[in-house]
Parts: sequence; C-alpha cells; structure tokens
Amino acid sequence: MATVVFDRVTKRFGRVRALNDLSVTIPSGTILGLLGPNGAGKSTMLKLIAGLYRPDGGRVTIDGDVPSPKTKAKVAYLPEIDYLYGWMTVRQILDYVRAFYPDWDQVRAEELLRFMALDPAARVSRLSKGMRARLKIVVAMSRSAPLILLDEPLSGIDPPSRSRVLSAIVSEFREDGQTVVMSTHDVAESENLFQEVLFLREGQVALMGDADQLRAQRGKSIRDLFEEVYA
Amino acid sequence: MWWQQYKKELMGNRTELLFLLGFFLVWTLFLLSRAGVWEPAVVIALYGAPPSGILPLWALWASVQLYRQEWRENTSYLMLSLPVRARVITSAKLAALLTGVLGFALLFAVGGWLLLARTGLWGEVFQRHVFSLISWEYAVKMSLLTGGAVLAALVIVALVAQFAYVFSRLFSRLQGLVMVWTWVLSFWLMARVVDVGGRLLAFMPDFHLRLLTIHNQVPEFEMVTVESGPLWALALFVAGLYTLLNAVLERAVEV
Repeated sequence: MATVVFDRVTKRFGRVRALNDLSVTIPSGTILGLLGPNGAGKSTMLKLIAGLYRPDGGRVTIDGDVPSPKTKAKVAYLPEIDYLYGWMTVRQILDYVRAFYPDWDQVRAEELLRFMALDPAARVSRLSKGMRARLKIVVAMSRSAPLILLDEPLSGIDPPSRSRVLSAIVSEFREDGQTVVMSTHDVAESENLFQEVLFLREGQVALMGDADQLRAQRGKSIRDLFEEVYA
Repeated sequence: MWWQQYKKELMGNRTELLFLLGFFLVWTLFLLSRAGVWEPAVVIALYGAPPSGILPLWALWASVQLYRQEWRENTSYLMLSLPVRARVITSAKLAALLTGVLGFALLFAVGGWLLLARTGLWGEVFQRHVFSLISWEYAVKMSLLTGGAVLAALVIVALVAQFAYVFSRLFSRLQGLVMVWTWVLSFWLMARVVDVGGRLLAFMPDFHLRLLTIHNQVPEFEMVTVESGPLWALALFVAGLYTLLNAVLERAVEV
C-alpha cells in the first residue's frame, strides 16, 4: 500500500497559487474523493503525485520517496485529457503500457476490455470520447498498482459509460493493497464510491475525513456538504 | 522496455520517414531515367545535392518533432509517467532517428551504385590507376570512418536540437526563442570546450591516418596526424549534454 504525504506544498502558475502551503496525508487502503470546484487544485495534486509537476515549495512523498521512476512504478495515473497515442490500436496501447509495468494483469485487462465493450483492433483516434475514457480506465485499472490516481474519470462521458466506469473502479479495487484517489467536481454520481473525502479550496484543505463519519456528524450527504463548503 | 519504446518512436514517426524515403526514391528513379540523356556529371551532382542539404535539416526537424509531438498531443503525460530513467526515452528517440538516417544512407548507397552503373561512370572509375592502389580492407576502413564521422555529426546536431527543445519546456513563455538561443549557445559552448579542452587534453595520444591523396595526378598515401585532444573534449561535451538532457527530462520538465 502507498501513503502519500504533502508537506507544506506550494505550486504556482505565474501569480496563481494552485496549491498553497498544503499539508495533508492521504491514507492508504481507501478510495479517496478529491473534491472541489474548477481551479481548487485537484489536478495539480494528482500531477504532483504522478511526478508530472514539481512543487515550488515543500515536499511530496510516496512511501517516503519523492516522485521518481521508483515511485512511478507504484502509480497508475489517469489524466483528464486524452493522453494515449492516437495512431495506435487499443491492443497496441495495452501491449505498449504492459511492457513498462511488472504489475500489469493481462487477464484483468482482457476482462476489462470485454466489460467496457472495446474493440482491440480499433484505432484510438477513431474511438468516441466515451470509448476513449473507457480505454483510459482499462489502462489504469489493469495494473495491481498500490496507488491509482483518477483525474475526473467521468468528465465528458455519457451516462451509460459513467456507470460502467464507476462499476469498473469499484469491482477492481482491492482494499488490502490499493489506494484510489479520484478527483471530481461532480459529487452526486460518485458519492457512494468514496470511503474518504478531501475538499480542496484555493489550494488548501477545506475539509477532510471519513465519508460515513462526516455524513453522520453533519447529518448531510457528501453532495450537500460540497454545496455547504463551496457556498 | 527499451525495445517497446524504440518501436513506438519508429512507428509513431513512420509517415514522415516514409515520405522522406519515398521522395528520395522518386528523385533517384527520375535521375535514373535521365542517365544517358543528361551529362553523367550533372546526374551525379544532382543526386548528391539533396542528401547533403536535406539530411541535416531533416535530422534537425525530426529531433525536435520527436519531443514536440509528445507535448502537442498530450502524450507527454504518458511518456513522463513511465517508470523508467529518462535515458530509456532519450536513447530510444535518438535510435529511431538514427534508424531513419541509416535507411536513407542505404537507399543513397544503392541508388548511387545504380546511377554510377547506368551512367557508365563505374567503369571509368574502376579503370583508373588509383583503384589498383586501394585494397578492399582500406576501402572498407575509410568508408566506415567517413560514415561514422557523418553519423556522429548528425547525432550531435540531433542531440543539441533535442536538448534545446526539452530545455525550452522549462519556460512557460517564449519557448521558441529559448529553444533557438539554447541551440546557438550550445554550439558556441561546444566550440569553446573543443578549443580549451583540446589544449588541456593535448597529452592524449594522437591518431594516425593513412590518407590517399592525389598530387599532379599521381596517387600516393600520406600519413596524417590527427590531434585527439579536441576529439576527446568533443566526446566529453556530448556525453555531458546527454546527461544534462536526461536530468532535465527526469527531474525538471513538466507536462
């Protein structure tokens, strides 16, 4: 399992502070919902963990190590944008990614391909947006990675595909060995998925805790809490 | 892992590579059709002109393109999240580029052979006295040396271009300007390193080459001494630049 620690992390883009002296520990063995409106710093957090951004201040560590090829082997990252080679076929994408990760599970990949109704011979650039989103899920969830980062996996996807994506995340999650961090600003649909939630506001923690406990303590759903926090 | 990365680079850039090779093939076929119509010297000169001009420019363009494409198409997210040292990525990209260059060189050699045969120049060349002096061993050795030197020069051009592009990614504005200036300054620095390093490494043993020269139409072998100091300095600079490229890609650059 992987524990992620943000220790006074600041990330700036010009004059804008996407993360502002952020200190937080992401517990292992859970599905954490990273919540907040656009610009709250959700994607920045995930990119810092994945080693795609470098902090301007502070330190991000995964099991005590700063992001490096070693930590990247533990992370399965799904960005919000289309990041797969358009000229490859679905099969070629899976073969390419598989070569880099010893934790790749080919049986699971084949099952997910079928579950997501993806044609292995189809070219990525010819897939619809929803199908490309499904393929990204297959790529991320076919690994037994200790840490799975999903950046807005439901973004721009039609309702039938959304339920498939969420089902895949739930069915492939292994509580004993995985941590899933999923960012979204659409709480209603994924509320029941989260065991922990972290509300971000202007690059800082607005609220964090166990989802069930927060519901019980506040007498509100996570969706209502979202509206309260960002009111 | 490396093989997959190399294959990906090759397949991802096959359109440009095939276009270049196809263009040269058509050019060669056109000149073959002109053999016997135009003067042989004109045909050979026209054949040699595109590679000497196009190949370095293509190497330069393709070097930048190999990285630029990753950022333009957002595949840099995948490239930079792979659990590999940067040298796996950079060496695969360089190797893919060199494969293109070698493919081009092979096509050039075959086309040149055919043109020389078609124009009748092969016969003339072989009949010259100079060829009786050259052993096959010497011809192969000099061909490898010349080919190696051309390849090394192209690698340096490609490496500087790749470094200039990757370094420019560290800046959020004026990336084009940064790239051009990095390119210019890298070559300036290379010249300085070769100059100063050459003097500092003057103690290194020199190379001796047996070169075939022609004086007053009389061919003769001449022993030429090549100082190795500047070459060692150049090799060290190139190794340093490659290390720096890997460090920037692995530790500093962002998507």
